Amino acid sequence: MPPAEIHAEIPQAVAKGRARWRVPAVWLVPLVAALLAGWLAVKTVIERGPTITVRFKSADGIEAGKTKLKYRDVQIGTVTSVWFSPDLKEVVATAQMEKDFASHLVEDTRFWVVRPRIAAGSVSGLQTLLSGAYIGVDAGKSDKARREFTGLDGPPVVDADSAGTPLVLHAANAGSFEVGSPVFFRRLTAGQVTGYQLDGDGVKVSVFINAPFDQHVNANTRFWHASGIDVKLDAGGIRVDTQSLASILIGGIAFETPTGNADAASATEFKLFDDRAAALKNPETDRLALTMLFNESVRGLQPGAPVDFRGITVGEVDAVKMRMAPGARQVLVAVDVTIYPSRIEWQDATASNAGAPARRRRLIDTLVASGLRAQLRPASLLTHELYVAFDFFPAKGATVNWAASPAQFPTQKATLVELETAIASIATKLDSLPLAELSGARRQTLQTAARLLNDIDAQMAAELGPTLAQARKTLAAADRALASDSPLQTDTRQAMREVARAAQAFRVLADYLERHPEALIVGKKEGAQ
Amino acid sequence: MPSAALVGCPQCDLLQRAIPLAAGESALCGRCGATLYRARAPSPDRARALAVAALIAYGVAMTFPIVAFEVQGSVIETTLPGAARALYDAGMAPLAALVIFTTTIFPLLVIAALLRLPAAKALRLLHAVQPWAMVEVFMLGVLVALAKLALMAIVIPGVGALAVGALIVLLAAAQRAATL
Amino acid sequence: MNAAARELYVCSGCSTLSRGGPQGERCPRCGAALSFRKPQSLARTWAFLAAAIILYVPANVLPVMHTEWLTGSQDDTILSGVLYLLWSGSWPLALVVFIASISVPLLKIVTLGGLAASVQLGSTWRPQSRARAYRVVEFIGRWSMLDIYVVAILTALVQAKALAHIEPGPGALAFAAVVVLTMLAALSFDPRLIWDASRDAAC
Repeated sequence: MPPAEIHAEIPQAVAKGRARWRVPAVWLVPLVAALLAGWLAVKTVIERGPTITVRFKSADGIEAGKTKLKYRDVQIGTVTSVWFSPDLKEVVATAQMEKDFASHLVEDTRFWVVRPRIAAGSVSGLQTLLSGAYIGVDAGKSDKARREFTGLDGPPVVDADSAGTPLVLHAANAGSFEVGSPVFFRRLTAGQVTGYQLDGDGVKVSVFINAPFDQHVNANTRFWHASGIDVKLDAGGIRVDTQSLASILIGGIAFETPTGNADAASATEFKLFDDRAAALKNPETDRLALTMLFNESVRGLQPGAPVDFRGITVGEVDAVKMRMAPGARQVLVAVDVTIYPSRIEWQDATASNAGAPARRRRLIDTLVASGLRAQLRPASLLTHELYVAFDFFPAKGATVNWAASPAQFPTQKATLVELETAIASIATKLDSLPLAELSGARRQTLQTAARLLNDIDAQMAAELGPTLAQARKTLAAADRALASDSPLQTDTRQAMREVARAAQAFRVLADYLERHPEALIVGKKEGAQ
Repeated sequence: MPSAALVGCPQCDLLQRAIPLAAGESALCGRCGATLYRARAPSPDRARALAVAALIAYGVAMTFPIVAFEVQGSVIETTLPGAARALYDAGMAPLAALVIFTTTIFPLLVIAALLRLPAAKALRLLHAVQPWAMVEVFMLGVLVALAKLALMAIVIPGVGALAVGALIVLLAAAQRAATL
Repeated sequence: MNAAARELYVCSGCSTLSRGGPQGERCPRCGAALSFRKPQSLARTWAFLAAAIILYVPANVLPVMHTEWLTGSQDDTILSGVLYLLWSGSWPLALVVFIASISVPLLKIVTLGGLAASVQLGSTWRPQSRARAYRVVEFIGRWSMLDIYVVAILTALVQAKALAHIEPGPGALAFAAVVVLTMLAALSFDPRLIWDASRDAAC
């Protein structure tokens, strides 16, 4: 069989190209690129932190895309855009925060713009002159997450994580302090004023006391205005008091805890007194209110004047009023006082406090029966102030009227009465002098004196006569000597004329010698001048 | 590649006969030495694939910051368009335009042209735009600037820098695959 | 021997040989407009070169970068930038910037000027060397843009307000113009013109 025929019957093999990938291998490259880009995109989205908005009054220093947000100097976010609120009243800054900080964006997280700032005696934020303003953050401690904030005008006075205690003080007015003014304890800066606002008819002041000073604050603590210099002139004398130079300029508050009650409850609200004396004046709660009626002038008696017993202040005057009882014939002055019995040690047989008020009353009644009264006395020679003094007087009969409210204490008239008594007693003494015997002796003495004078007179006359005549003669001679035509005068005049002529001649000679000094040797020429 | 065809030298106008080439060889003009053609035929497929990769790299390079600079605790970073924007903000608008065109717009056009191969218009566009896409020069500029800045403060290269590097490589490979 | 002599076009883009004809002188492969030689090549080259030379002076005299920092400010020209790099110890960088921003533009201007002059004068001196010179010029042209990008990056990054910030100076604009103009000059120059003179001489 011929080969060609064989070939014709055998079917042709089908050519198959070399196995090729559908897609050339180069497409791996874009695939890899896509995977990488996708992974990058996903990573960015996952790592993206929350977006927050903070409202400020102005965008001063804030730039979109540039301004950072920092907490403790670590960057935690960047401002992405700055625009107005819909009503154009505020500026809203939108910021992209780091994811790790998201858990700290809570209710009480605070934001403010850090710029160079001078406030309350300190300068802050100077580094922003170099690095540009940034937004400071103070992380809050709350649990509630928050994404929309309102920025503060300035840095918060106290960081959220400062150790210490916030307190509230109630004052009549704000005095001279401001936000950031110091609070002093033992002349050390123990805290700051964090804010104040009107409250009813006073001012509510928020302060923050730093640790460890807050350990000294308990229910007994007294706070007072420590601004400036305290100068006081009162029944006690002159006093000058100041906390520190800073407090003179920027005001301040000081506090002290008088030792007293060992078991002190903690408290957070206090009254703010005007000065230290006022603050420490009433540490006691044990008071006894009394009223005293005076029937004399109480001019100079001020509320706050001390009530004194033998030099010890046992209370103070609360009020001075007129009391007019209907139908009464006289107008009395009622002085309300508060006594602090704890200033007096009550020497008592019983040790317990039970029933102490009743025992005290009995004791007071006993004293009153012995003559204890209240009296007005002048406080000092400088001022016309009065104070109330307890003392024992030789007076009988009055008692404390415990039934009245407040209890009425018997009084004693003021010391002017004593003066009258004194004068009266002197007059009496004078009266009792034995003047009758004295008159006889007096007459004899006068007579002796008269005789003595006559003797002196006679002796003097004998001596004086010749002396006087001699004096007269001497005077006449002198007079003659000094008369204008007396020889003495004439001689004197002549002598004067001679002296004048000599002086003239000397002058001529001096002139000539000046012109002709050789004349001293050769003599004067004839005819020369 | 035409083996018995004539080729003309684009730089000296000499007519020559084409010669067969072994793999990896390139044919030079006999008179002036210009490259006439290479052993491997231009492969629009390959060019397209690489162009896609380049496009992705381009996207990353434009979005992510190229470099960050830290001074006084503040970190300042910039993307590629950001650098052009900075020039514009500094008042140099023509300069900003030049930078944007040579680093952003023209490279994008190159990629677009590569993707449309082997269309005639694409080829024309490619040849027109090629000399003006200067991403590699930009990369070197970034390196020099970084070196200058590293003398002053801390410099942190970013993802964008890597993407630009990838873009350069991919673009070069794609263009090589697309043309003779 | 020349394509032009046979009335054959060589596409400058895709190097395809084509006959002139009904396509309206467009390359059949890529559609680019065809011409035997680049139109008005010499004139355009000279024009761009002249502009580049004029702008070369302000580009090097005016500062390209203005630095301001806390204690003072400083203007930097291209040359002073190179010197600063040299002085601060990074001489490789100084070399790079020197080559890219000072040598290359000068080289381009001089070479292109020389090439254009040689063609203008009909010189037949070493056409291969000239062709190679042209290829070199075309290749390195773009690298002069280096300094512009350096300034751009520095401006974008050093923005710490009072502490330090950098701005581009007027010299940068002039320098960018010089780079662009020399690139345009290189693109306008038709290297085939080098060979025309030799061919004419040979003929």
